[in-house]
Amino acid sequence: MPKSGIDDFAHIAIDPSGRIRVQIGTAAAGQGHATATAQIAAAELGVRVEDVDVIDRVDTEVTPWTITTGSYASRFSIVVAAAVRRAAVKLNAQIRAIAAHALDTTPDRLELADGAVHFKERSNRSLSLRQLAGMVQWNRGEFPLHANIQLHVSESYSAPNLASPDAENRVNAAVTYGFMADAALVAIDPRTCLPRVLRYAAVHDVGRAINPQLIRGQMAGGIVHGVAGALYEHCDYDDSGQMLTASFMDYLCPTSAETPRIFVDHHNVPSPFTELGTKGAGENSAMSAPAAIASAVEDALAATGAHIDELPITPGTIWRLLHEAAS
Amino acid sequence: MPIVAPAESAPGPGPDFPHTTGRVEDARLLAGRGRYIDDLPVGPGTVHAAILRSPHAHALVRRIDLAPALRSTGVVAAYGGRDIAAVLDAFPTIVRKAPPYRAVATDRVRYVGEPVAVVLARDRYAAEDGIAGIDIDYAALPAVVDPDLACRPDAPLLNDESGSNVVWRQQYRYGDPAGAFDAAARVVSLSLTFPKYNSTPLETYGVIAEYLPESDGYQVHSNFQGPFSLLPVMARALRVPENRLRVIVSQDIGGSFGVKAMIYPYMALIAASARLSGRPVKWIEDRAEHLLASSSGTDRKSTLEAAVGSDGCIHAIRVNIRENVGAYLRAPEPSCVMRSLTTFCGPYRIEHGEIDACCVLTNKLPTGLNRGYGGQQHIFSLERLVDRVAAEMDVDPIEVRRRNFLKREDLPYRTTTGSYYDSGDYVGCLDKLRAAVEREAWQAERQRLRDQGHLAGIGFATGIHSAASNIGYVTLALPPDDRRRANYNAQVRDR
Amino acid sequence: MKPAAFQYLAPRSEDELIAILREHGGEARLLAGGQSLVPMMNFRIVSPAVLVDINRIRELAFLNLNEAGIELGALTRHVALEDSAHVKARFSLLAEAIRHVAHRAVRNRGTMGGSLALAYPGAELPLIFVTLGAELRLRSPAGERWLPVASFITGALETALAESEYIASALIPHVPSGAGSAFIEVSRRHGDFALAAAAAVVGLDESGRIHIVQAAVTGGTDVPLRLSATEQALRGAQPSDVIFDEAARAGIDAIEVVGDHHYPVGYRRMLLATVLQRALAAAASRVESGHVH
Repeated sequence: MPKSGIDDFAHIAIDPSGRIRVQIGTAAAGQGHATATAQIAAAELGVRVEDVDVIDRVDTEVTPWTITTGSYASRFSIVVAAAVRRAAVKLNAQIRAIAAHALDTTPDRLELADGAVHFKERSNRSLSLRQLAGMVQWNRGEFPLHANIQLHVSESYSAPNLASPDAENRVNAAVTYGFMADAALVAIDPRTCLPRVLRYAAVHDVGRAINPQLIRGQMAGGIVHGVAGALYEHCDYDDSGQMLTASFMDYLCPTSAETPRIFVDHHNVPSPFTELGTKGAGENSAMSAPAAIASAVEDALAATGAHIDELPITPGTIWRLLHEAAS
Repeated sequence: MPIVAPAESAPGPGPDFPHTTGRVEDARLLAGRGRYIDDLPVGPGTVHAAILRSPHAHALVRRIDLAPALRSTGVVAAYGGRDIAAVLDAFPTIVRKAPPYRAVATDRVRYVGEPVAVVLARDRYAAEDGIAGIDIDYAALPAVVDPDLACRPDAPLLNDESGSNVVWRQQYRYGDPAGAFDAAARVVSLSLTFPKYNSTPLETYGVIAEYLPESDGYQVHSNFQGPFSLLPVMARALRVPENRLRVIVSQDIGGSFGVKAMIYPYMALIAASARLSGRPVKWIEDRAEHLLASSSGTDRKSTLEAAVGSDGCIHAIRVNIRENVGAYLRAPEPSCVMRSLTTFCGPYRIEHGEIDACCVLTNKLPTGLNRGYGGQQHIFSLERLVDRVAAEMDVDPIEVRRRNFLKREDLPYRTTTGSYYDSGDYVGCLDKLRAAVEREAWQAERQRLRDQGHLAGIGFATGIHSAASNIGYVTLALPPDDRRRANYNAQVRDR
Repeated sequence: MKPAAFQYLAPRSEDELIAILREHGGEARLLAGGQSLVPMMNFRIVSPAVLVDINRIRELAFLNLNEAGIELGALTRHVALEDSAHVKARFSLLAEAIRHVAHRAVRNRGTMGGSLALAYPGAELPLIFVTLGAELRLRSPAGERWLPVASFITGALETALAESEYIASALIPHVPSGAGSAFIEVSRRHGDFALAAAAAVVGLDESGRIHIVQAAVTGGTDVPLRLSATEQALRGAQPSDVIFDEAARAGIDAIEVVGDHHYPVGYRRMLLATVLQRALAAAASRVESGHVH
């Protein structure tokens, strides 16, 4: 069976109190999906972020899941966000269609703002989402039978350009391709050989930022994960296969004290292929920091001509390189 | 530790996103009202599991005596590998010839920490008391942990039947690398070692499973993150159709970074225990288990060669990858090497490439998704190579990148591997980084440190951040003939 | 990671404690801060049949400055040492070193008695006690005895504590007036056990020569080591970086250091010499700048 594609869904509704409820199924683990989802929905429906409730739950019995469901490969801001946006756009149209009946006008004359449906042109008449929801809930009989009068919609989003590999092993492996440029400043006390990443700078292209604060958090975390891989964390085994790092005494996670001063910025070029122009942001410097730090250590040891071709870069490693150079 | 970031302005399709500080999730979480897997109330009759794990890296399991566990106070049941195998098969993988991977070892253990038995008891304390009593007769076998050593003909074999620890190997050629190497002004080469490590999410694995005899199905609560392509893998192993495996993900998960994708063997194991015992079973992984036996990224040995022009432009790359997937190749591997194939050129205009990649079994913890998933291995390799090109061609490392980058106007760009790069301004982005580093006076800081007697250095790295993967890429692991045989008919299509 | 079953006793006085020890002897394990014991029990590295919680024994928690020096009850929490004005003024070496013991949260619970009884290689408190020539008061159902810390710690994680014996208190003699001290530690991360640590006390006479010197190191050595030969070599010398450097190297060359694949012996020797030289130099410079006891 050939395999291809990536997709996800969103379900969005107005409840009787006029609050917006969005349902997604991403199995989030702290990335802030609910917040970003609320922002997208709020933007399309003219409400405040606080007026949106997000239910991010996966129960395979009731959640529309697909093979590509889940939180991985930085997919949320591309696929799920798109589904949310589409659902919100559809609900926006639906609301205007219903309001048009109630206000005796046409949907194109209406817009959503401040939790209500307004005329684009000056007018005293408007309908709050709460009123609208109430009308549909309690007074459905007043509306035309054939019209699509409902306050909940589902939408799914499937990303473009994704086919299965061809006979020459060519495949477009991802929907979008962001870019990262990183730099590290490392200092080593030659008498202790302890490497310290003092500063780290990352300028990334995430296409478009839904929530800059969330992205900064992701980048800080990615940088620390990258520092960990370069210098500290190691599933280390001896030759007989015994694991030497089976507790946090030996498996060294960097703490805030080992974290460099971090500078992050963006150079975003929106994606022409994704619904919101977003590219992924979740993995980021976890992938590039090991290389940047190796490069910085090599620069620090330039006088010895040493190459850093292996990680982690431990004090023992550095001592050996300096010691070998001296002799 | 402040994070310095200039103000953000983001034009784009659709209305601007409303600004918000803080997250909607936080009020609940910060007040201690999170609902993580361990917070879930459990039904009456629920028992708690503890797992006995192999102390040996490689050994035959001669005899296992569970009777002492069953005599231990509070213990309700104890199962060895064969007991579990009665209701749980090995997990399917895309590599058909891969040796079977089971949730619990039967006759042989292949990594320290591999599950060997499960004990169910009234609480975790009693379950661990039960574990302590179990008697197992092991016959130790020689072990191997280095992937290159594991490739040698005299290496200890993890599977006697297969004759080799290389469980998957594939070669890929794009463009005309041989021609490019022939024409090269210089060939730059290096050998690299990338280490095995984890992302250590704050919260460990948790599973609460129940067998539903009325529907011959399972209900499993866990902090599973996806991808849900692993659901059919679990269902197959449990011998139920997918719609009879109900997975409910806990409302809150304390970090995952890919590691909680690999919880699926434990979900199946606990589910199988539930079936055998007729009781709901809860298991919360402790930190020692997590470090020993959850998952990790792969370690990798690789050799790379670049065919370089006199101007430092890289025309072709040859890569040889020995990817250490641990004691078993388990889904979704060998996807760990895919970023090194599909984006082998990185952000550079490199149109010819030859990649020879293999997955090697060694007596280490089996691998899986880990934040970056092959990205860090790939970018480390490519960027070290580019730095080496810069050094050998006597070009500044930033300049050599600028020369090799795809330019903004080149995108959208179809790489020779079929990847369709949508947009980007790599030169501009690197320039912006360099300007920031200058503005933040890094050079002066480096000099100051050197004046104080420190060794100090500045290094750069760039990379592609591919996102939202095409599930189709996993079939790249199959040879084209196999894909064709499976009624496969696809082409790379432009938008 | 759950401990095996144990009987839990919580005496409220030393008399009660002695009675428990008389009855249970080697079966009993004392619980003070629990920062090492509880993880060891959770890993089932130790599984005592009887856990004796001594945290309610008030007479074991005290900090008394007297003529002889400072006497610390076994239950003195690390934070008490960290926050004490007396310790800062008269035993600044202790105040300086204690901040390297793990993290503040651990120091809230960890105790002097627990640290000495564990004798973990690379631990800060045993090093300081050896440097300052502290003595421990040990009690048991059989009576009481005093032991210098250097005799008390017999190996990595090994002490001279007899079965049924416990640490009651420690006496640290006063640091000579006018002496400066310094503690230097190197570790992979903030709060880790030391890869190498050195503690030094230096006093100068009117001509500026070294007339008091106490120096000890830990890290790659099973036990904290007082470097008497180095001290001997430095007495009478004019302090200088070169002098300290030479003395440190010679001192470390003369002791047994253990290395492994990750931290080769040569690396450990370099580290020990570095921290020793830096501690001596810092102590001397504090005398010169007037930061003294």
